[in-house]
Amino acid sequence: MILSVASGKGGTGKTTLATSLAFAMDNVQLLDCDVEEPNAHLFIQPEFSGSADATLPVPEVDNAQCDQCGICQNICEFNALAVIPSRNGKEGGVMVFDRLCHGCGACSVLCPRDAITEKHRKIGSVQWGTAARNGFPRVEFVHGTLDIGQALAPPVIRQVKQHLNPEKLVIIDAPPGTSCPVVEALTGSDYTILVTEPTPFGLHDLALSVELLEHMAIPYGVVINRTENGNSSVEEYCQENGIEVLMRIPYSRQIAEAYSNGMPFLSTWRESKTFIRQMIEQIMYSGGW
Amino acid sequence: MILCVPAAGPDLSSPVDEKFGRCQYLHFIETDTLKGTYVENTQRTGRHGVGVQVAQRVVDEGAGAVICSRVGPNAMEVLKTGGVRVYEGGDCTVQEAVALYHENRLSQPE
Repeated sequence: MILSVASGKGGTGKTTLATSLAFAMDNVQLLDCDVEEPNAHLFIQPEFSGSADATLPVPEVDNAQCDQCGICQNICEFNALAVIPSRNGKEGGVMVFDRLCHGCGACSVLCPRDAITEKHRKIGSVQWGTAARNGFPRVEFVHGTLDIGQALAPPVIRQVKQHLNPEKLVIIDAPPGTSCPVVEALTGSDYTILVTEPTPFGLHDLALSVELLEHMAIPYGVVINRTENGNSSVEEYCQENGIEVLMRIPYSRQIAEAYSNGMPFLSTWRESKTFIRQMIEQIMYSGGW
Repeated sequence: MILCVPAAGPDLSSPVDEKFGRCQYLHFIETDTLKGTYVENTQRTGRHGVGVQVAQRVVDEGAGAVICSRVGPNAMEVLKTGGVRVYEGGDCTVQEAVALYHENRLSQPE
């Protein structure tokens, strides 16, 4: 089963929940797909056993083969190519703007003269390993990191998800928001837990996430974090829209202190393991797993 | 030679648009005859690589020079490779910019 943890608003507790979830269950693989700022490893503390470059295929043009027909430039959705015609005795050719390229490959497929090959441009890295923290079950762990200065998170997320182990309970820690990286992280999930907080911002961005998940047709439920530190609007929203509130995480100094020490709340909030297991059972039951 | 002037409107009395990729109109003026045409820049609302695409257009039109003070690095590279000179200019109308070109009073950025 693939279970993702997402949130429209940042800082509501996705990683807090995902890491406690990972340690509360058995036979878990945790994928940190927030490649722009991965931080689940701070709580999981894995020993990494391998790594690989995350790359994007970008075109390389052999200008000796190119006759400047312009097909590649026309098909490019992101205007990453310019075709300079031969003129006044000067040889023309194709200019490639690597940073605009999204790696779709259309130009190399369509080039009638086979002048375009693909090279792999490094945009990040993927690391994997196992966590064996004292007092917690072993967790298989994979995360990706987008290189500084790079803009395309989805290809890195895709490469993290290539490590997905279907034999495990897979937990995906998604990036915040509702844009392309989130869609990439959530695609293929059997269920998504939306973490939110009981504030106007939390409610606003929860509604955006709900819209996204309805569109993606992924079943979902809500976990409310820091429950006493806000108002009842999120509860009311969920009730009005028939959305299940799966769990409530209290607003507690102890949980915050554990967080700041890199500890999952499982270690300070005793009942949480039971709550988490009940929540997962309920999700599995409702989805027929 | 064909001179390209990005502008805020379709007339020669329109002010020069100092943003290259996201200008409203592109004027193409033949410097010998002062005859010209213009096109609306339909690319300007695009999200990606607008400068590259507009520079491609300018190269395809066979322009030899552009008068524009704010050309992005990608567009600049395309223009240079396409043999299009870039002159700085902005605070005037299209007509005045063409006159300044004829009087050799435009400078090229470094």
